[in-house]
Amino acid sequence: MQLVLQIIANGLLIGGLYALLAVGLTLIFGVLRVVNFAHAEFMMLGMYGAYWLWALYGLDPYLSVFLVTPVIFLLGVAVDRLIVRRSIGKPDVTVVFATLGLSIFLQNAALTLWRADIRSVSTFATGSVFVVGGVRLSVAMTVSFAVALLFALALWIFLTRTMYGKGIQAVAQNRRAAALMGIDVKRAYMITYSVAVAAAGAMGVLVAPIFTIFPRVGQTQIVTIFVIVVLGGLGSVPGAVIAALLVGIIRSGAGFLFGTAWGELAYFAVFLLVLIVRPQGLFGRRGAEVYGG
Amino acid sequence: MKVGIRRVMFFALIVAFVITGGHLFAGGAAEPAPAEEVGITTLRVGALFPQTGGMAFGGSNALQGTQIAVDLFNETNPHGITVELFDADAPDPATGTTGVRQLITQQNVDVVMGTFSSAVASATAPAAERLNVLYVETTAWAEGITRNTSNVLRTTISSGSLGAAAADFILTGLAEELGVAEADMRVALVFTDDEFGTSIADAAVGRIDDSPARLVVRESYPAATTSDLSSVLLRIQQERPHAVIHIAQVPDGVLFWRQAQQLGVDMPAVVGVGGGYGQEDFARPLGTNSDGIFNVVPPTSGSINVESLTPEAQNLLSELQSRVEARGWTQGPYTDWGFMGTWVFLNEIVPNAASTSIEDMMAAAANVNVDALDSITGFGFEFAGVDHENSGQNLRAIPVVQQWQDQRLRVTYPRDLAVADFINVPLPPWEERTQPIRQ
Repeated sequence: MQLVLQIIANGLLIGGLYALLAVGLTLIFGVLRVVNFAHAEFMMLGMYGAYWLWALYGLDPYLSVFLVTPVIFLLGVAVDRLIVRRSIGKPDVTVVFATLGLSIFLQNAALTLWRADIRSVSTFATGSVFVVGGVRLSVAMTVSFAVALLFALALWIFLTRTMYGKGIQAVAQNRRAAALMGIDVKRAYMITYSVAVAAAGAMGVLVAPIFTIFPRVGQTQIVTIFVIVVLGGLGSVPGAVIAALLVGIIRSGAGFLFGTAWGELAYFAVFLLVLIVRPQGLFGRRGAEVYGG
Repeated sequence: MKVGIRRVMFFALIVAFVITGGHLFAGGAAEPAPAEEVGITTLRVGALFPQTGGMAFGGSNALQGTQIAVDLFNETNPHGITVELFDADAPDPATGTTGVRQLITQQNVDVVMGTFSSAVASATAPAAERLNVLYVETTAWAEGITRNTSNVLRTTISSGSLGAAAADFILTGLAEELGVAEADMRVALVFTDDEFGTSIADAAVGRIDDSPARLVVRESYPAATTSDLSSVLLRIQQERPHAVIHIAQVPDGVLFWRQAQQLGVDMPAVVGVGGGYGQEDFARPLGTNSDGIFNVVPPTSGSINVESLTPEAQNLLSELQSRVEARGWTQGPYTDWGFMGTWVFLNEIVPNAASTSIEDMMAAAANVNVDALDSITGFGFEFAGVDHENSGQNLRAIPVVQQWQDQRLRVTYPRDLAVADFINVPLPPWEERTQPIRQ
């Protein structure tokens, strides 16, 4: 029984990491209708931010997250103005290749600036665990998990309980109608994109004590994150969280029972099954992927 | 305007697969070109290594070793041969294949040297063969590179010998040190599912299957997309092997150990094979927890007793070190292997070849006889003939077992080559260890 609980705990914790990325990505889909290929690169930048502040100034990632996240937010503002906003409304391939190009640019910028050296951050959290009922929980993973859930909850409250959040939802539903109602659409885009990539950056900082850091580290996650976003339903924040946790548990459980390679296969099988039975994803609205306005 | 975001999503997923999964198909038809018959007064060498992307660090180290060997050869060579070096980037098989074609058809190189990456070399060596050009592999280990090819000379080790050496060590030296009979040994095998990992794993499995020992865990995973190895660690915890063979790169190697610590998975001995366990980037984040971990690799100047080398080899090593330092580079294992492989090729094969044709180069290679003590890497050079199943393979590239001790690699097995005794056999349980140290 303890082994089963450990497998579930491992799955939930790794799912929490996926969730923080997936929530931002699904938000960008939902509001901007943009496939943000560069999303995981903002996580990579967050990891490098954590590394340099730790290596140069000894700053723990749990403190540097408060410095790095606003910087990534501002970077998101710049990217929105320079790239994303200009691609909205253009043909599909323009949108795809704008963010794909940004992804490649950021990877190569990191490679040029910081070389391909594999870097790592070691803090008190790196090897620390706490034990609950015989189940070992990594401190670093648990903190990331908690932050992911809190972020998703805060975002959901913001979108559903505040006027500004409802305005963003209105933009997601129909940009032109929202504009006619007096909502500043460009501002909604800017805030959505920047908050989403800042969350990815924050995740990068928080996982720095766990994973090694190199320019292509984002690519280790991006396929899984895309699967989660579609599985949860495009634009659905709760869907992204639940799908992330589900993928984490499936991967962990199937990986233990049948082998790590089968863990990957298992969640893809579930993904395909869900798409056949429920094409809009677990929590997506039918037609949500069609952009009106 | 109605825009089909779902279509975009599926397109996006497909593109993401392509980005992260690498290129499955490389190579293609090419016009065969006749070998250039020259009396070798000038040799045009193409250097094909990853200089960008995830393998840039090791690839650049190997390229730097080659560059220094060429510079040194041109400055000192007594044979009246001038070597011109042209380099091309090979971050993945498709780009590498394009690179090898450009080197041969546009730069007119006589020989291509590479490659650091086994996946890249598996595509680029056949591409060179189709253009009838010799391929000298200094740093990639996959067994298949020298199988069914006629144009490859490999100066370094093959993965098959690595896997067999890892298993041999576990069943003999390690079993003895652990006080476990070979028949009672339980072994776990964890490896990356690329060609490099599977070829080493297959060789290890072959050796274990021929012994009375038992393989209790056999797990593979995709190194490029793995962010969680907890399930394989829990299986190891369940099966309680005496030794684990882990074939890994640096990121997954570090992740394996960090998660082992988090989950409290105790392993009496772990033998790493491959690029990951042999690099400082692996040991640094683990701190003192790396002490006692084994690594099976070809030896390097950093892991052997260099005072046992001949004075000529010691001078050569000093020259390499001073040039690396002068250029502000870092000397790593791949620098050594890239340098020494190139040095032997230029000094022992090229001057003795009638022309740059594959046949003449192979004929000259058949007469190479370099003793281990004449080499800065600690292994000698003798190439398998054309009738050998691994024709062109350096038969004297024999791996040694190193162990991390005070975050430095030291040769500990075989005993006659060892520069240090074993430590931490068996590895201490996590409860008895200190927390990881900072850099």
